[in-house]
Amino acid sequence: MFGYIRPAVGQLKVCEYETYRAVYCGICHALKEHFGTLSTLSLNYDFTFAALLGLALRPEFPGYENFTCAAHPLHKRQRVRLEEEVLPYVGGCVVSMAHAKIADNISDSGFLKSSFCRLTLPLTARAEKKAGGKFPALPALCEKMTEDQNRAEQDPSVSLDRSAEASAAALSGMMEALSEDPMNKRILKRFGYLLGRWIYFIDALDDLEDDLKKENFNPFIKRFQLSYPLSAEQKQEVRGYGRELLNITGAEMAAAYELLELKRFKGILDNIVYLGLQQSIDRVFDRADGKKPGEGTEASQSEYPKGRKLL
Amino acid sequence: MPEKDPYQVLGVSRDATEEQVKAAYRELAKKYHPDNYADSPLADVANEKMQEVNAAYDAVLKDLKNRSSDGSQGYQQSYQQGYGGYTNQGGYSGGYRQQQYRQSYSGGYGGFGAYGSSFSDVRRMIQQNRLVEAEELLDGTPSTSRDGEWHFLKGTICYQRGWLDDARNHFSAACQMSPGNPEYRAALNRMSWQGQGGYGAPGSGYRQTSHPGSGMDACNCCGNLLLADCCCECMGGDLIPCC
Repeated sequence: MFGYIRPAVGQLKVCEYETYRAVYCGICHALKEHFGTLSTLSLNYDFTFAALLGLALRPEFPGYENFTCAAHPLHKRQRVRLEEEVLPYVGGCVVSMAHAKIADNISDSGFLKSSFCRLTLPLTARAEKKAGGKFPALPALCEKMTEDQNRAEQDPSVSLDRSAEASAAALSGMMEALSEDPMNKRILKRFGYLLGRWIYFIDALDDLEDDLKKENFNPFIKRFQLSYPLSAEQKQEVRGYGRELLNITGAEMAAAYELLELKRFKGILDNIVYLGLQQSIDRVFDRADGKKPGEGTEASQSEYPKGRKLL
Repeated sequence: MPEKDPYQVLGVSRDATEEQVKAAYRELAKKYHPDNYADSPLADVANEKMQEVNAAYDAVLKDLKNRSSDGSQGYQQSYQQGYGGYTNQGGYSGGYRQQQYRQSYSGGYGGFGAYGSSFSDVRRMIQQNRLVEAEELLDGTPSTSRDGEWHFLKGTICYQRGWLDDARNHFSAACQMSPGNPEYRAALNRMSWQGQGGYGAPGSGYRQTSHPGSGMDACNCCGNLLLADCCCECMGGDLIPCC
């Protein structure tokens, strides 16, 4: 369900691109220090955005340091220096969500996938416990999310909004804790709610055909009474509706985001909120059509080359 | 709250020209315009921001004026002429603040609720952020007496909670039941506009960097109306019946 919240890389300044990487590596470092080396595998872009936002709201900034990454031993890199608040907290969110996801997969998937998840479960459980020790609110948030999601999926008359509620509420709780300022907390609460919703819907659209085939729960299947195989018109209809829904959620996210008082990183965050989200929607729909990245109708007419990858 | 540097609030440097200051103010005023935050649970935060920006704008303009009066005679004259021209137009301090801004805020719920609304209790609860109670009261209404206002208020509650799909459906139902109501229409138009990839309210001009002018002036007023009409039509309503 992760990796949709990311910048439109081509529109970043080079220094912003380097900053984004440094924050990504900073969380990776925090994960390794606090939750063990294996936990770094669960790192994703969505929480890199959360860390950027958290760091942007703090008055003080920890600065950068040089390091050599074990995965790329030949290159010197820079990362955000480990501090005591934002990075460990975001790391805690990453492992808690990863654990919830794996536990959920075991109950939902077929034999092969669930056996694989069963093998990794003890590892994520250990990391999650550590996270819970450090940030007691996190396990409760994730538990509530799983429970509420299951309840929504059992409900035969579930609406799109209702089915997104569990993820939205969890992200809302996680984002709220990124600031101590009561005003920022209020804004982050709404922003996080909408962010969780946005991620849930784009993930549901991304998995639509897979879910249809495997008869998994998907809110859009319920909403449009879909059955496998999907006709071209149905696909268009769902996508059109889905895009509008994502656009509306994104516009409300932007309205909340603009009220936050950012101390730094405005360029990168603006890029993600205004360009990155749109690009993710295009990417998901292109991918469903079997197009490779950069093959989209828009991109092929671009006057720029394909450019670099995100990381 | 500690006093903030007005130049920082506007995001301009200390040696910015009057033009730059005005442009920066215009951008911020568009961004925090109350129309963009109508019915939003964060409306009060946006209101506060707007006041901060207004205060900063006044402070910076005053500072600019003081600075220029220290300068040479010729400069001072041309500057004051320019400034006089600006204030005569009623500029932004008049346009945005006194008229649109005050109206839409203080007018808001209270104003409408006073006109024989059958749901004035619900409106008051929404205003006080008591969403659960407001919804209980609404859900207790028998389905036969659920009119346009019922759907509008239900939509507002959904909207505040972040249930944007249900909110749009209720706003749409409200507009179908009371096609002439500007309040319901504005709510639906905003969501249709956002659905098409817009930000803020339609015609707010926010995030339209190609048009640095104000959102609604004589030139693009018609265009905005047409756009609003298109939005209405695609949702099953109509704003301008002849087109």
